[in-house]
Amino acid sequence: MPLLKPIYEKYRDKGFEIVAVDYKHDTEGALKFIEEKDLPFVFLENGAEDEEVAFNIFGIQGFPTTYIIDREGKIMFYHRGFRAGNEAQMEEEIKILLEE
Amino acid sequence: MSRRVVTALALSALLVLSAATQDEEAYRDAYKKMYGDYRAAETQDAKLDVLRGFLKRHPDGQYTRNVVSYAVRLLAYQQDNIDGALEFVASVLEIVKAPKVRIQVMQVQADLYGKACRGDELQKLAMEMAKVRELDYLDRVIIARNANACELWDLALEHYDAAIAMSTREAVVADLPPDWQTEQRIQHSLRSRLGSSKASKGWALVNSGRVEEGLAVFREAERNSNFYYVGMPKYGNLYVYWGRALMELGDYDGAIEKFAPAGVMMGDEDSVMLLRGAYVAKNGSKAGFEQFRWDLRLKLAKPIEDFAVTDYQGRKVTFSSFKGKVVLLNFWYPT
Repeated sequence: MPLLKPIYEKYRDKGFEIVAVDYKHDTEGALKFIEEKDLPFVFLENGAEDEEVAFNIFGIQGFPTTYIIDREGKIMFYHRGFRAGNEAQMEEEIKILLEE
Repeated sequence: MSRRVVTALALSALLVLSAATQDEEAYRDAYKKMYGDYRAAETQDAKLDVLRGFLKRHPDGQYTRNVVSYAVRLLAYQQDNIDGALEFVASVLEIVKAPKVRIQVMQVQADLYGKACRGDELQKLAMEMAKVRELDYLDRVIIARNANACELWDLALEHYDAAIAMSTREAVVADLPPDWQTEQRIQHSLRSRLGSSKASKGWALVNSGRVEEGLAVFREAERNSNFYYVGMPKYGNLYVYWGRALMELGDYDGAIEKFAPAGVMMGDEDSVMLLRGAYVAKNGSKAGFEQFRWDLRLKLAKPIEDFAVTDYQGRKVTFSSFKGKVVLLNFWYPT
């Protein structure tokens, strides 16, 4: 996720946001990581066990899972997993959606 | 029963329990130590000796399958020495007594026969396994998937049918860990069994020439499956099998429909290749494919369902409040 920070800073003024949902219900671990890496994104919790959005709405079992969503709220791109280098692909996709 | 007897029984049960826990701890420690030695060993032979030594001392444990898998990975997958791997597995089966562990080792053996496409041996093994215990869902699926890999369609069908018959709510509940027993997880697990077994059964049917039946089973599998939010079934290669069957029948539009969700949304090389193949078969050339794929993306792009959760400060946030922005929504796992 720290690899996404430069992208965020580059496009945030053009109507771009990064929203990260913590899959694990680990508030302490999450906050520590966010602070250590100085991440400026919107961070949300996954919801209580019985109303987890990650599994119950999106059926997500693997992580990270990333959706890139256009201005109308449609999921245009999808990434299962993340490897260093994927951020370049994501930036291309974000650029396409911002320029429309 | 007098209270004293009950107390004595409870006490002895407690003693047995704590002895078992101690044994388990010692076993876990031995396994950890073995793993360290295994990592440290410099040659393949030295690594295999570490594994053999551990199995000789602890043949009947919960880690036996793992240890056998390390050896199989070294021999069959890194050196392509299937005979060596099979020999290793056979030597382990000579010392393993516990039925549960024997079956687990035989599952590894079945995967090796599948990899080497040794159909006769796979068939024999399936019968051997049934002598150890009544085959359960996982046993059936492992035999069947290797039968499919070896193009032994009848054997595959026999075991997929049995696996499908075993895909009941009760069976799923018995196999799920206690902290996973929410109704949603139970239903999800049940659908994943039915969806993946039927997908593979359909593939076996299509390949044995029973095409119409196969297509009907694919449709059933689709009704039973779990799906990723972006449109492809979660398990069992359903759309890959289905699309390939339709390609054979010359139904390229049908094949494109099945290959599209993965070809567009997953975007990995294999998925794109299948979609491109169907496009070329239909149009005679790959010209215009990228535009076609983009148009498909516009068609498949699904509106995100709204949800409301809290941030770490306890404030309620509704996802639709980001509408109008391009959003990268990431589900992550703090380590």
